[in-house]
Parts: sequence; C-alpha cells; structure tokens
Amino acid sequence: MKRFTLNDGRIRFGWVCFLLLAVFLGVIIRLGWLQIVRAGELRKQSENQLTADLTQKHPRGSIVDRDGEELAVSIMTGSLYVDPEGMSDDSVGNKAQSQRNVRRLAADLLAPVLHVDKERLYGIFTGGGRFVWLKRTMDPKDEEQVRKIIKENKLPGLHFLEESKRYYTKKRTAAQILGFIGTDDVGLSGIEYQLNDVLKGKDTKYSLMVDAAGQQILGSLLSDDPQDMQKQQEQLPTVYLTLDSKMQYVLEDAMDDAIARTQAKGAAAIIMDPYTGEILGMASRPTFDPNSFYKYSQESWNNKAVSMIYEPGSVFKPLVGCMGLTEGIISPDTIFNDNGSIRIADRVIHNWDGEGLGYVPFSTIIKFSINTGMVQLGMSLGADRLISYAKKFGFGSPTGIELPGEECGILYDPKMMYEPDVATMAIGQGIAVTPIQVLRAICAIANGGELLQPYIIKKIVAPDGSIIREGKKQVVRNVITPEVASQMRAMMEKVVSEGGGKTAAIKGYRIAGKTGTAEKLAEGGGYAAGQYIASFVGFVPADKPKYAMLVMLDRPQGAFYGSQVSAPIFRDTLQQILVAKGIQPTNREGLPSFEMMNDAKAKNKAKQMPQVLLLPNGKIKLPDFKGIDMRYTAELLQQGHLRLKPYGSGIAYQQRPAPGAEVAEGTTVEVWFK
Amino acid sequence: MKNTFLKFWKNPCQLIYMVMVLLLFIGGTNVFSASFVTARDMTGSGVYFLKRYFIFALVGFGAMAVVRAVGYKAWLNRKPLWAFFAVVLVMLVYVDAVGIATKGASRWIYLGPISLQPSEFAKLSVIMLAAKYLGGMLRRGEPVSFFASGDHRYVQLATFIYGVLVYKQPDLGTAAIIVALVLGMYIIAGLPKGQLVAILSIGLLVAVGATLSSSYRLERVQVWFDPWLDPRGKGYQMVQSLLAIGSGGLTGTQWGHGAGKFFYLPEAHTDFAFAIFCQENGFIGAMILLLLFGLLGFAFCTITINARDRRGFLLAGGVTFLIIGQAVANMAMVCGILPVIGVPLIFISYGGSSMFLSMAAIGLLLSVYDEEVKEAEHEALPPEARRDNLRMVRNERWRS
Repeated sequence: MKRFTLNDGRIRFGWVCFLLLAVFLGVIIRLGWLQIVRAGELRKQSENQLTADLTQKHPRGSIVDRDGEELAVSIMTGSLYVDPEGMSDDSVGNKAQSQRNVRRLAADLLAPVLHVDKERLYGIFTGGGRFVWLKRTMDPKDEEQVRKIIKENKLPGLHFLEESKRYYTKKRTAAQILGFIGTDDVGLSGIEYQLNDVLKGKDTKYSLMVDAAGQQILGSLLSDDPQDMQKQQEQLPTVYLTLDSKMQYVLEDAMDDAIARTQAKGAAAIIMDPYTGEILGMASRPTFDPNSFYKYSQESWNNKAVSMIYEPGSVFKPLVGCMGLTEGIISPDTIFNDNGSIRIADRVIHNWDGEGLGYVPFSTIIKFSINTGMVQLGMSLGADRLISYAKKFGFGSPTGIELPGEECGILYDPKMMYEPDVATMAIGQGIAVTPIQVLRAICAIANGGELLQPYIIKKIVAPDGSIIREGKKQVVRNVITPEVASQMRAMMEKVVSEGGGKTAAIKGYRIAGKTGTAEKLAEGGGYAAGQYIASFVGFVPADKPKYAMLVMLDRPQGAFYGSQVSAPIFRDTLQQILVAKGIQPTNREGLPSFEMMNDAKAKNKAKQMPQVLLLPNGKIKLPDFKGIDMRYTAELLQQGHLRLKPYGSGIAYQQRPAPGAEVAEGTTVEVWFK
Repeated sequence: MKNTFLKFWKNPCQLIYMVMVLLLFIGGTNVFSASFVTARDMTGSGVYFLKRYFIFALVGFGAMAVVRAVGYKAWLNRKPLWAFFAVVLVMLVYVDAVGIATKGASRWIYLGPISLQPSEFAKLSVIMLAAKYLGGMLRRGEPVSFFASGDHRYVQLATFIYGVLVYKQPDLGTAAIIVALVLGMYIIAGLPKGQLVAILSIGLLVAVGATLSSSYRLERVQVWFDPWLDPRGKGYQMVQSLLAIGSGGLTGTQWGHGAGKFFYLPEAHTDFAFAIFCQENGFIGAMILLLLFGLLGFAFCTITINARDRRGFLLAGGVTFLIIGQAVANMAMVCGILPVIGVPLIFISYGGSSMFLSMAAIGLLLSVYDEEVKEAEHEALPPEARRDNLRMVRNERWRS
C-alpha cells in the first residue's frame, strides 16, 4: 500500500476546500436568487406581515347652537377586542415564554379591569375566532390600564380600535332635533340622521409597522417616528344649528312645566324668527335623553313639531281671514251677522259658547274666534280658493326643514268637497297640518306676506374654518300683500289684548296671536270624543315681530282650550326670552326684571294655574279663583259654560260653590272680589 | 507571488488581521442593529449586546495573541491538551447534569456576567487532539484508518465522549459538527477512500432511515425543503430568515431599518445575524461580506497548504474547517440550503464563547505560520549553522 504523504494530505485538504467552495458558491447563487430574482415577492410578503392594516376612525363632528354652544360632541375612546386564535406565544415566535398559558393569564389580569367574570373571559379567549369585541368605547382610564397590562405582560392577540363616542352635553335639550346615533356611529334620528354623511368621518385606512407581537414599531432608535399617523386625525365639520340654546332651555323648561300641569299626552312648541325662517327653539313631548335613547319609548324619539298632523282649529282662522282680505271679499270692517250658529246643508255649526254677538265687524270675528262669521267667509271663498290658498300658505306639502320624518299633512281635493267640508275648513277643521306648517303660515302674516323656508342648519363649518354650507333666508313665495298682513296683525293683536287670547298677554309688549282648540282626529277616522288639541300661535312684538311661536298640546287633561293651556306657555316662555334678549317693551311701566321673573316663575310652579276641569261625567270641577282678577275669572267660567255672579271688584278672595266642587253646566258661580 | 498589484498584505497573517478587523467592524454594527430591539426589551439598554460583543472581541484578541506567542507546539503537548480535555469534559458533564436536573435543554454554564458554551470548547479541543495524534501518525508514516490501532484511538475516544455529551444536551447539530470536524481531519490525514465512502454512505443511510422512521423528522426535512409548508410552525424561523434576506433586495433596507429583528426572526443577532445583515445591506453588502470570508479562507488555506509540520498542517486544516466550514455552513443554513443547525457565523453572530475560541483557534493557526517561517528561515541558513540535531530535540520532545 502506498504511503500517505503530506502532499496527499494537501490534495485531500484541497478537495475538502473545494467542497466548501462549492457550498460557498451555492450560497452566492442562493442569495442572488433570493435577493434579486425573488426580492420583489419576498419584500411584499415581508411588508405584508410587517404592516397591520388599520382603520382610523374619526370622532363625529360636533353639533352646536347658533352661538357655538356645544350640543353634541364626540371623543375618541378605545374599544378592546381580542383575536382568540392569535392569542398564543407560538404565533409570534416568542420562544422564551412558550411555557405559560397566555389565555389564562390574560383572563386573570383583565377580568378585574373589564369587570367581567374570569371564566367568561377565558371562555371567549379559548372559543376560537379571530375577532371578538371585549369592551367598546372604554373609559380612558380603564383603557390606559389595559394597555399597560398588555404591554407589561406582552399579551398577544389583544388590540384596541379607536372609536368615537357621542356625548349630548345638554341631555334632553333639543333631543328630537339632535337625534341620536346607534352603534358604529350611524345617525338614526334627527340631525344626526339627516347630516350623517357630514358628521360621520370617513374611516381612513392606513398601515402601521408592527413587530411580531403586533405592537407598533415606534420611537425606536433607528426608525422614523410613525406616530404622525395618529396625529393626522381628521377633523370633521361642525354643524351650527339655528337654535339658541338659552331659548331652547327656557322652552324645554316651559314644556316640562306644561306637561306636569296639564298632563297632556304630547306636545310640541316652536320658536321661529318670522323674518328669516330660522328655528330658534323647538321642543317635543314626550322626550328622551339621546345619551341613552334606548331606555325611552319610540314615541319620545319623534319630533312632533314636524311629524304630528292634527286639525289646527281656530288657529287657522287668521289665514282664512287673509284669504278673504286678499280676494277683496271682506275688509276688517265688513259686518257679519253672528247668530251663534249657522246651518250649512245638513250641518249646523255653533260658536264655541253657542252665543251670538249679532252684527259685528270681521275684526271681532277674529278677536273672539267666531265660527259663524268664519263659515260665512269660507262659503264665499269656496272650495277651490280655500284649497289653493291653503296650498299657497304651504299646507299639504312638507316645509322642507332639514329634519327627518316631516309630514305633509292632508288637504281635501276641492272637487271632492261638499259644502259642509268648505264650512268646517274655514274654522280649521277638515284639514290636517303639522305645527311647523302652521307657524310658517302665521309667520307670513307676521313678516308682511313672505312664506319662508324654515331652516334649522345655520351653517356647516369645515375644520379649516371655511363654510361648507350656510342656511339662508329663502322666500318660497309671497302669499299675501303687506297691507293684508298688517290688517291681520292688527286683528290678531286684538285677540291677545281684548279677545280670546288674553292669557298670552305679556305686560308691556304688543303681542299678536290666535288660540285654537280642535278635537283630535281618531285613529280610524272621525273625531275622538273628549280628546282635544289645544294650541296657540303668535308673535311678538306685533308691529315688528322678533319671535313667532307655536305651542300645541295634545290631549291635555282637564282644561283643554288653547287659551287656557297653550297661551300661558307662550306667555311664560316669551316673557323670559324677551327680557333675556333685551327686546324693549313698548310700555316699560312696572315691568319685572328677568331675575324677578324667574323668581315669580318658581313661585308659579308651586301654585297651579286655576283651571276649569271638564270631568268625564259632564260635570265641571271648579278651581280656586283666589288671587285672580274678575276678567280672567269670567273667562274661566265661560269656558266651562258657567255663569258668573260677581260681588265687588279687584281680586277674587272667596267663592261659592267652594273650590273643587263639581257642578253642572250652566250653574251660576258666585265670586267675591276686593 | 510576484504580482503585487492590489496586494495589501505581505503575508497571510496580515491578511487575516485586516479581514478580522473589518469583520469585527461589520459584525459589531450588524450585531447592534440586529439586537437593539431585543436588548432594549430584555435589559432596557439597546447597546447591551454591542458592548459585550466588543468586550469579547478584545478578550479574543488577547487570547489569540497569547496562543500565538506560546506557539501551537506547546499547546499540543500532552499535559495542556489533556488538561483542556478534562476541563471541557467537566463542563459538558455539568451542563448535562443541570439539564437532567431541570428536565430541560441546557447548553450554558453561567458564571456571573458571563456564560460559557462548553460545546464550543469541545470543538477546539477535539481539533487539537486530532492534530496531535493524527499528525503524529502521519509523520511517523503510520496508516490512518478507523480500524488501525495507534494514537488515533484517543481522538476517537474524545470525539465519542464529546459527541454523546453534546448530543445529550440535546444539541444534535453541534454534536454533528464535532464529528464532522474530526472526520474532516481524518480525511486530510489519509483515511482510506473506501472507509470514507463507507462512512459517508452509512451516515447517509442512517440519516435517511432516521428521517423516514419518524414523522417528526420527516416533517422537519420537508419543511427544510419548503419552509412555506408550515410558515407559522416548524418553518417559521426559515421563512422569516428568507423573508429578511429577500426583502433586502439588491441594495438592502439601510442599516438599522431591517424589520426582521422586531421579534420576527428568532436568533436575529446570534445564529441568524447573517439574515439581518443581508436584509439591511442587500445582495451587494452580502457579496462584500462573502468576499471577506473568501479572503479569510484563502489566507487560512495558504497557511495550511504551506505547513510542512504534519501536526501543524492538520491543526491549520482543522482550524480552517472550524472557522471557514462553520461560516459556510451558517450562511448555507441561513439562506436555506442546509437544515437549521445551531452554527454561529464567526464575527457576525453574537456569541462570547464562539468568538473567544475562534480567535484562540486563529491564534493556533497563526502560530503554525510562525513555525513555518522559522522553519524556512532555518532552512535558509548555511548547513553549518542549522544545528539540525538541536532542531530535532526542539521539535520532537523526547518520549518514552
């Protein structure tokens, strides 16, 4: 055998080195393959695992009142979710801690913070799936704590999504106007629904670099700061409403009061600027708190101010009057013969008290809301003109206010109207309207004949301050001439100063208005016996109106006349508003200050307004007349079809029968004044 | 070599030093980039591993200098050799005992702030033993064969003991490396071709048999061929490594910007540091690094081939296999040519024991060169000045 020499060894060594060189070359080729040929593909894969595609949600835009006072605001809070299948250390290659039971640990740590049972949490973690909400819109403090726990224990599979949480800062105030949002930031009602596209931020999709544990790679020594992503949080437009939150507050307060006092089943009130069509205040009852809308009845979510249809009753009379004046059929001084009732075809229409005033001018017809006179006017106008004017005044179609759920009301087809239908329409029956329609039509009288487009969105302001959209006065059409309007204003002023609407009077101010009481339409047609809708509509000051307001009470219990229940709400509300807004009274003498009025109001609350209660058995329950004057006492008794036998003059201090007594219609009540 | 154009070194030692300094610079920056995330996470300080890397490098340089100054012949004396063997043996037994006691894997000995990896010591120890005894047999003209009697039985014994102890840690990969190193030295010491073929065939058969007999191993092998079969399980590390390398592209992601280290790639700053390097420096950077390793290998081979002392030749060959072989194996493993075994890439991977012992091994290699230079100088002397008899005494310690 040949001896193995050193040179043989060197050759062998050369061969081994050659082998190593071959592998070495293999590495070069392999690197070339990976880094040049497949680079794009592998880089893409690497980026895929590196970037987490996230959706950045943005806080919903704010809703504020006309002065920027916040009504609805959103803040971003974290919503915690779990990826149960991703909840293991293996999935992130976290070798070092592979011995622990991540799910058990996470359940134990998180249960106390989330206030959930440990076992339930563990059940979720072990239940599979890739996405389960644990807690949405968390309290910021809890969120911070959970984040800390996740970070300190390197818990995989637990993530936060930023979501927007809505706060209605003034709770029930303007609830139906603002509406509310459901989950996922979707507006379900009110402005939230109407302007959902404006208020709801589009989700921004973005990618974030994350490490294998799913934590964002940020602030690291060598990488760029990706936190900018979060700072780019999009600002959303702010919606300015025409509402004045002070007025709204007064209005809401007055409505609460009214509901408590009258036990009405529902109510609506609107304050409008008669010259611009801006809605300054709007309330609806029953109401709710949008922060927890789901706890309230669905009925309370409806905005009755735009969605309830009812027969306006006498409130409609000034409009019919305007028709007659415009058509030249009447003038304020045209004499009508009021016999207390009038027969039209097979139907007899009575005045509310059945009494006739004899020969009176038209202004008195309006002043005392005399049905017979209105019927005569209606008959001369005829079906076609009544309906076409009603349409001109905006009835039968929605006003177009930016609120969802608006109804258009019901108008007869003039061809289908029989004479009694014409007659009743002249006194506000046989026509179904919404409160906003009525107020807008009355505003046309207030402002000199312009039928306005009511609006509630003052402006929408982009985050950069630019105005995206601005609500402007829009005249739909001129319905009556300024002269007719002025004549009607004068008549309506008399309603409050001398006629059926005296309960709306505010000392020192000129007020025009009209009461209305209508039987409620029954669900299946016809009228519901004993159920009334009491309304009052008016404006102040009568000559150059600043505010027009409508109050409508649905089924007040006890007193049901517009003058009894609705007009006082008008008075109480506007009195405070006028003083607060510094509208100078025509006659300053003996006027209370705003503070005094609040005091007086507080006292009033304790003491119920005297009212005549019509009992179901046809009897009338007498109120306590103590403290009220003779005129009001007479009015109250009149409403109950009772006779007054006064003694003395001044303020009532004694009466017979006693307060609370139940008497029959026509009974004479004795009241002593001093 | 006549061509001095573009030649920055006069001898292989200078080349080795130059390449080492460059590799330490590159390795340091890469270890820092690959480890700062983990380091900050573990210790709060991003430079933890970087500091230790350079401390080990300094200690390694010291070891290299001392080893080289003393000379390999002194280290290959029986007493230091077997003392070293005994120390390694104790360390390995201790590690195994700890492993049994804790019923887990145990590969480290913790001594205060430092941790020792006994299997790294075993690699150098077995190379030195093989160099001494196989070299002795080669010099004496004794045929080297698995079945021949002679001093190589010591080598076989030591290899067997080391192999079993390391395998029991368990660390099959390192045990295989130890056996492969010894086998490589047997080959260059004159193992008959028949036995070589036989043992390679047996090894292959055993590997194939073991693979086919166990579904676990089969899966491992399948995943080695295609890690995307189980990208979140067994193939995870390989997939992450390939993604890191591939995403580097031609020019890389810039230093520090590689994403693999963000807990994606396990062992990012140790065994898989090369993947991070490729990610951040791209194909071009990788080629520069490979060029440096190529130069290092060239220098090692030059020294080995030129060594005339049989033991020096075998020692240099063993060190070449240790350093260059492992480097090639690591790179091949990281880019998916070889299955994943725990081989570090010298200077690029963070690892104290590996760096210290690799530099000590380079010290031995350099002393082989020194010895060869001395020899050459001696031969250049006129015959009367040579005093061959004295050289004999110096070279061959008197043995009983």
